This record gives sequence, C-alpha cells and structure tokens, in this order.
Amino acid sequence: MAQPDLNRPALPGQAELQSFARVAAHLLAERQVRAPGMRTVKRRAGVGVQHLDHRDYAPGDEVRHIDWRQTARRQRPIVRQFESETVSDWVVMLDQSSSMAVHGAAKWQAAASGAAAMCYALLELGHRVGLLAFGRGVRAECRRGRGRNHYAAVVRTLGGLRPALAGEPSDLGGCARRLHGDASVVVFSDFLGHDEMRRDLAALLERCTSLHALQVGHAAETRLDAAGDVDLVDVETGARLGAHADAGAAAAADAERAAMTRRLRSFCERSGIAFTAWDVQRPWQQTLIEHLARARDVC
Amino acid sequence: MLSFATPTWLLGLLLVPVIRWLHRGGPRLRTVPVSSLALWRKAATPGPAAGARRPPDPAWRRRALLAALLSVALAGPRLAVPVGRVTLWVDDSLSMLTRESGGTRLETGLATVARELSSAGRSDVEVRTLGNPWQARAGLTPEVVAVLVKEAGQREPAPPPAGLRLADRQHWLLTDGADPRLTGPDAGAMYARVFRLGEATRNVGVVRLAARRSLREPDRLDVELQVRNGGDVVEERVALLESGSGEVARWPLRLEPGASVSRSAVAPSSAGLRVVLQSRDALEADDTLALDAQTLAARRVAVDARCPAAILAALRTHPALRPAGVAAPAELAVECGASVGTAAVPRIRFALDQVPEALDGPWTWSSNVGAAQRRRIEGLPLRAAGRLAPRADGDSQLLAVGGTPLIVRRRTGGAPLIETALDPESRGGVDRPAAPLLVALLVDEALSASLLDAVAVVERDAQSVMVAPRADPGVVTTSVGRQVTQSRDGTRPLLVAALLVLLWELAALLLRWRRERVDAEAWSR
Repeated sequence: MAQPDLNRPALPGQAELQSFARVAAHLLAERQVRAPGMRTVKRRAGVGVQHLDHRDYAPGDEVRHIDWRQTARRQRPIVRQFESETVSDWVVMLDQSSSMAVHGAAKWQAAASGAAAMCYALLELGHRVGLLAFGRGVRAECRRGRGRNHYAAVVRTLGGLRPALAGEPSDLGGCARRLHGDASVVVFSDFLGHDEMRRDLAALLERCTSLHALQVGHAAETRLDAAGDVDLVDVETGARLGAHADAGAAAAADAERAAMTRRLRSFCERSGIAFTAWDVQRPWQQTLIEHLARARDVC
Repeated sequence: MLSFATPTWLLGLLLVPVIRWLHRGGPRLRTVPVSSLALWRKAATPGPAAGARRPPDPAWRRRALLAALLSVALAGPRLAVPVGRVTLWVDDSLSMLTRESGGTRLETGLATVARELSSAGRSDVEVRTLGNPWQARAGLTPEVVAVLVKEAGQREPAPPPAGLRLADRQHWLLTDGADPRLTGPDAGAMYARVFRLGEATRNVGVVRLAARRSLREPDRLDVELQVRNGGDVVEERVALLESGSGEVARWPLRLEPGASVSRSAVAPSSAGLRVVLQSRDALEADDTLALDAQTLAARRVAVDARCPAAILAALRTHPALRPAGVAAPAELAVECGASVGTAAVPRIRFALDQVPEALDGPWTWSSNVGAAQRRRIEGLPLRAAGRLAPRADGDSQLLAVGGTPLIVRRRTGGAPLIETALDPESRGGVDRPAAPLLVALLVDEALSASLLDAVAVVERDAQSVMVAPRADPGVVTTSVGRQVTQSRDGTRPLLVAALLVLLWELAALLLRWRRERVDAEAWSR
C-alpha cells in the first residue's frame, strides 16, 4: 500500500489561480439562477457603482476602470472592482472521510486543490465564500467571508485538514443542517457512501440555492496491490470481505465503479445538480472549467 | 535396508498431525485496505459450505516437514548401500616371486584377480602393495601388473596401516600365505576376499653377507655369510663365495627345515663380493646375494714430509689408510707446517711449534666425539706441542684441557680441517705410543666416518625365504566379503535438509513480518 502524503496539501499557485479565476469569472458572472428559491443577493463583484476592491488589469477590462493612482504606486496596471448587484453566498464542502486518503491520498490532494481554486475564483467575483470539511460530521469550517484576506483564511483551514486513514465515514446529509441562509454549494467527494450518497445530496439540495457535485475518483481504487486470496477491509466502516485478487476482480470493480457513477449522474440530472466525474489524473483547471460550463445549463 | 540408531526419536513424527491440527484455521490472509467494499462484491470468495472446513494454512506442510526431518535425523538413520569400490592389496614379498607351474606366484595371482574383477564387474579398483602401501595405482592394467612384478621383493611387507583401512571400500588380498604376519587376526579381519596361491614348499636362500677389514692382513677382508632353509624338507646346497678375482671359497651345506648355517672366510680386498647357491630352486631371487665392498677400500693419504716419524708410522699402520705421494690424488691430507692438500680435501693439521709440555686441567670434550674414542684418548699421557689460533665463528672445539683448545674443527667453506696442538710423539711407555690412537681419532673426525669399525653388510629378512604356504591355495570369501552392503549414516543429509527448510520458514516469516509492518504503519497514521 502506498504511503499517503497527508501533509499540508500542495495548493495551486497564485498564477494558476488568477488564470483560472479569469476564465471562471465569465462562466459565473452570466449565470442565471434557476434553482427553486432563487433570489437576488448582494455584494457581488460586477458592474456597479460601489467600489469594492482592486485587482490587476486583464485584457478585456474597461480602460475607464483603471485606477491610475494605484497603477502609479504599484508600477503595473490596476483596475477598480465595483460591487455587483447580484453577489451571492457559496459554500464549498470537502469530503474528509477515510476513503479520500487511500492510494497516496491522491483524491484528497486533488479535491483540496479544486476547493481552493473554486474559493479563489468566487472570492475574486466578490461572493461570500465558506468552506466546510465533513466526515462523520463537520470536521472543520471556515465561515463565509469575502476578499483576499478571506482566501488566506480558507488556505489556513485547508492546510490544517488531514483525513483519517481509517474509521471516518461520510455523512453529508448530517452536515446539511449546518447550512444557514441561502447559498450555492459545491461538494467535492468520492460519493462512496451508501446509495452513492444520493439521499444526502437530496437533503442538501433542499437547503441550498444551487448544488454542484464533483465526484473525485482514482483509477487505483479498482486495483489491488496484492494477488491471490486477500482480506479486504473497508477503510471507513472497518468491514471485512474475503476476496480473490486477480485481473477479473479488478475488471469487476471497474464495472461497479462505472455503474455507481452512472447512477449518481442520472440522479443529479433528474434533480438539477451540476455533476462531474473527476478522475484525478486530469488537471483540476480543465475539470472545473468544464464543470462550470456544464453547470450554466444545469443550474 | 533402512535402520535407526535410536528409533525412539521417531515418536517425534507424531508432531505432524498436531501441526496439521494447529493450522486448521486456514491461512493468514494479507489485509488490503480499500476505499469501499461495494466495489469488490463480485470478487468475494465464497465461504465454506455448511459443515465443510476451511482449507488449512499451507505453511503447515513446511513446518511439519521440518519437524519430521529433525525427528528422523535424531533417530540416526542408517542406510545399507552396496559397496562397489575395491582396494586390492598385493603381497609383494620375495616369496611371491617363487616360480610355480604357470609362472611366478605374483603373475599367476594377479591374473586370477583380474579375472575375478572382470567377472564381478568391479571397475573402481585401486591397487596397493604391502611393501609400499601409500602408493595407489588405478586399475589392474597390464602396465600396473608389469610394475608390480618388477618392484616385488624390494621392500619388507607389512599389514596395511590403519589410515588406509577405509570402510567404504572392499579390501581384497593377494598373498601366498607364507608370511603369517600379513594374514594375522588383526590384519585378516579387514579383507573381504583373500586370494591364496602357491604350492612350492622347498627353498634355500642366502640371508646375510658381511665383510670387514682384516686386522691381521690389511689387504684382505673377513667375510661371513648365512644361509637358511625356508622349506619344509632337508636340503643340500653348495655355497660359492666369489670376489672380483674369482672364486674365494666353496662350502657344501646341509640344512634342516627352517635352520640357518653361517660360514666365514678371508677374501682379498675387492670392490664386490657375491654368494651363489648351486642347485637352484623355485625361488631364484634369494639364491644370490651381492655385497658392495667399496666402502672398505683403503683411503689414500697425502703426508707432509716434515711430519714426525710417529705420525708416519701411525698412518702406515692404520688399516684403512694408505700413504700416497704428494703428487698423487689423495682423499686426506696430513700437514705439519707445510700445505699438502687443497681445500676440497679433508685435512689434519698438527701445530708443533712449541716445546711439549704436560696438560694440566679438566678435559672438555665436544658431544660430537664418541664415548669410546674419548676413553681411548684420555688414557694416554698426552702433551701439548703447540698453540692453536683462537676459535672463529663456525669453528667447533672438539677437545680442550684446562681451557686451552687442543683439537678444533675449522670452518673453511670446503672440506673439514682438523687442527690439533697435541704432541703425537707423546709416550706413556715403550708399548703405548699415543700417535696411532690420536691419528685414528683425527682421521675419523676429518672423514666423518669410523674407519676402524667399518663393516659392509647386505641381508634380507629371514622370513623372506620362507615360501611354504600356511594354508591351501584358493579364493576365500570372508564374512566381511559376504556383506555386499555397507551402512551409511543418513543423519547429516537430513540435518542439512532441515536447515534449508528452516531457512525457508524464516524467510517466509520475515516477508510476512515486513508486509504486515508496512500495513501497520500505514494504518497507524
């Protein structure tokens, strides 16, 4: 079994985040909220009159929004950001169960990177963003906030998270009760709980404005680094199963994993949940941008 | 056939079913953590049916094998294996050269053994002789037979040494049985087969011929010979003593069975003497005996003309010396002030440069000088007539009196040089001149030989002329030979096998321990 790297997750760098945020801004700014209970929220970065913040100039920005005083001081073009009339609250939920820690914690690393990028992009657009890590219950929470300073708080929260190697199941439904007020929710999880956690997603959908589900998966999940008769142990429940490890078993596990994804995707389509199955071998930028583009039609 | 030294240890085999019972719980499977068991439902192995048992841990076979190997090894298994290798011991005594109807006993016997080996299909054969047991020859080939016949009779046979009585070989013996020492209870017990041959029982042989210088006639030798009847009937022979100049003496002999007779004669000095028995018998090799008398020939001595008359007289009366002129090649030089010999020739040098004076003080002899010679010299009223140079490195002092060296052996790098300061003209009385005994001592030291006591002898073992076999001829297979198998100890191979299985078990345990440690570390985080 590979040793999981459970140290501080290697979060994306500033350049990567800015690049992703610029693309994500276009996908998020023109989004039409269609979910039930839709309402206008405040303090969203966009076109408005209330000055909100500054940021670096990017091609396509209005020249008239350049803050020449700040540009002269920082020796690079800086534009003013104004408070949008349609800002909203977002909560990023991160699965910290033991199943995220297997196979070198690759799923955990990818999910943490994706969560950090989503938080950054949303904060850049002026949204209030909160972070919630869940396992058997809520394991960590960064309350909603806005601005770059809040991103630093998000990063500090992420840096302190370490999934348990064993005995930590996922209870997403239980965490739904911790959501207060209207917010859009993004869930990063492998959804390897009972019933692919569809019941939990349904409960969560009742309490949020819109729901995004990113199923984090790893090809190694359906491989066993052993041959012959083995004693399989579920890292979350501790349940044991005698099995015979060979190529046929791996193929059957692949098929079962695909079936689980298929059932989850079907459920999300029926429920209006933006769903993406993410193999961690793919870059997080590509996965998140494709998800946001798909979400414009779903949510 | 398998047997055990301590079969009680075989009770340890009862551990095998116990080990099997202890492993009834099945193998200890490797634990593999997975993210969800739901993915692996189709790979699940069915559990044992109702009433059925789980297959035991396969490791029980390895552990049971280890216990079984140790139990059997401790029981001391002995396996009877056929003995295929043969060592042929050949009695190469003189009697084996006795001529029978079909040739000598040795030739006939070797042919018989060769046929027997061929018919028995024995190919791994080594041949040793009782006279030279440490030399082994592979196979009984014609070349080996020729060498054995050529070298027979040259050494005294003896029973095989204990170090060569190897238990993993069959030992065969070819003998005529004339020498009871070779087939005695001690040696005979080792032989699986004994080939006895020989029918001739009559033989007379010369067993000794000796010669020494005649004290009364310096140019003649006193000779003695001994003849023995090795047969079992009264024999009559004529013994001829011959020298280089022809027949010296002739004796008609009548010998009782087993009896010996001796005869003496005076023969002229000669380089060789020979005794021949006339009316030869089946064993011709012992009818003749030759003696090399070269060692008894007189040595030529070169003498310094300035030597006193006493020295010259002593040299002339010495039976083993013959004074020669200065120009003649000499084997010894005697100097009294002038040099008459080279460094390659042993020399005796007299220091006579002072007025003789009596010796005073205790006598100190070198241990190289014999006790008899010391007694002869110490009884003489010797005087010192000179002074020797101080002793140098490598010189050895043969005699000193009162701390004064009187006889010294000088180290010259060539032949010995004996220096003396004793007065050869010392006299204890008219009838006891000192020079002859003093000169004899010095000559013996210079030549490193005892010339006055020299005796030339050639003799053969009296047993060697005994040719009558002690038993009937034929091939005897002993109780040892009827044992076509030998017991081989199987403990060591079993212990080696048990050690290998133990290493196998330890390696398996080590691998499992490492695997479980990695899993435990991963789970403990």
